[in-house]
Amino acid sequence: MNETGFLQSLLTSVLMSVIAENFVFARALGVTPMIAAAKNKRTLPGVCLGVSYFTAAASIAMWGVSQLPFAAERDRHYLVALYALIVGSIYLVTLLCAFLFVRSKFPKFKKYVHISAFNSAVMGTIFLSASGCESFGEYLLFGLTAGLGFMAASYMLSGVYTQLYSEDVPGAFRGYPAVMIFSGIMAMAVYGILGHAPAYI
Amino acid sequence: METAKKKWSFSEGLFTHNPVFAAGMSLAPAIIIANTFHGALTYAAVFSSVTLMSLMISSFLPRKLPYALRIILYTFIAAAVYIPFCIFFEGRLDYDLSKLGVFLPMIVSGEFITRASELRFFRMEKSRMILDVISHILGFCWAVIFLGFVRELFSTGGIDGTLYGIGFTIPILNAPCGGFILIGLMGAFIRSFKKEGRANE
Repeated sequence: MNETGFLQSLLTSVLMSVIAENFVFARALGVTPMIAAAKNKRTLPGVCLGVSYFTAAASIAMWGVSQLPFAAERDRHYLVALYALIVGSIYLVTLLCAFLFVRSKFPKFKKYVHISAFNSAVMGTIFLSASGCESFGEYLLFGLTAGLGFMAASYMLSGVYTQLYSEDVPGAFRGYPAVMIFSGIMAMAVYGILGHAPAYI
Repeated sequence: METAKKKWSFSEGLFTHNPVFAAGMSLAPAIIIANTFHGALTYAAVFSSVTLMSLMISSFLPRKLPYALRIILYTFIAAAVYIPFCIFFEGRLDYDLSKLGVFLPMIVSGEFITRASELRFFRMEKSRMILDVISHILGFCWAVIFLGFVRELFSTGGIDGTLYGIGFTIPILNAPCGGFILIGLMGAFIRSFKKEGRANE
């Protein structure tokens, strides 16, 4: 494949993953952190970067796990403990690095790490990459696009967040119910592009 | 403390603070898995056993441990509880567990275990905590079973292939967007019901 062909296929797969197979609107992974991220425009970039960092790091770690001999037995239940260990390790290493290298900003940084680490977007990346990716490039791309998809969804929700919580919305629908209906409409648009829900197994 | 004691009610987790319809917890399985009645029923069975047992064991961890370490330990405990329960349920339920895909192992890092435990459950005294956890788990279970029933019935016209004479079906209810919208509508319904109750008081 020449360079143009490679770039075209890369761009297509990135767009497909971010829009048509969006982690939040098509796979419903990371809905709660998306709502938390969209709430405050000042903290939004931090949470989005945090989640993207964790999805990419988790995906790379999963590539490492896939090289181990027992990784082929993907349906084994005990692998769940291993996956929990991966997230826990990334979480601890990140906190440790932040404490050692950016100690002055550690209290602020810590909050973003807590929000970003344990959520369905990161765990979903681990489980889905384990069942769908093969080469290092695929794992890396999957992790990055998962984070990008989360970022896109959070920014979309952030754009209408104040309207969904405004006095103009009837009391019963104001806030959370309106956010869910908005997400439903976005999910419908995304569903229309792909024509089916992405696989989860 | 006294006021907080008076305000608490077992029905909170079932209705006014329902994990799916009001609090926005564990939304991914409610949107994706709860599109068939039997799938929702099976998920609810595994979820309630694993979550209840994990939270009960985790509640014995000393609060003196650093927050980051506690969260990791909660996830490990959940993973350790998940493995025997999953082996126990396999073949015993009238539904293939593998159809639940990545959402089944993701119970170990769900919001009940990593978020609500710290922000709500473990801040209460033990006896109340147990009741509150049970109330929230029951709230989650009725929500997913209800969603599974309504979505399957109105998207296919029947349950598990048995038709019930529903003349008008909405196939998109089966898709993630249907889950988002139905959760939003139920959230608004519960909120209006809550307001009505307050007005009557």
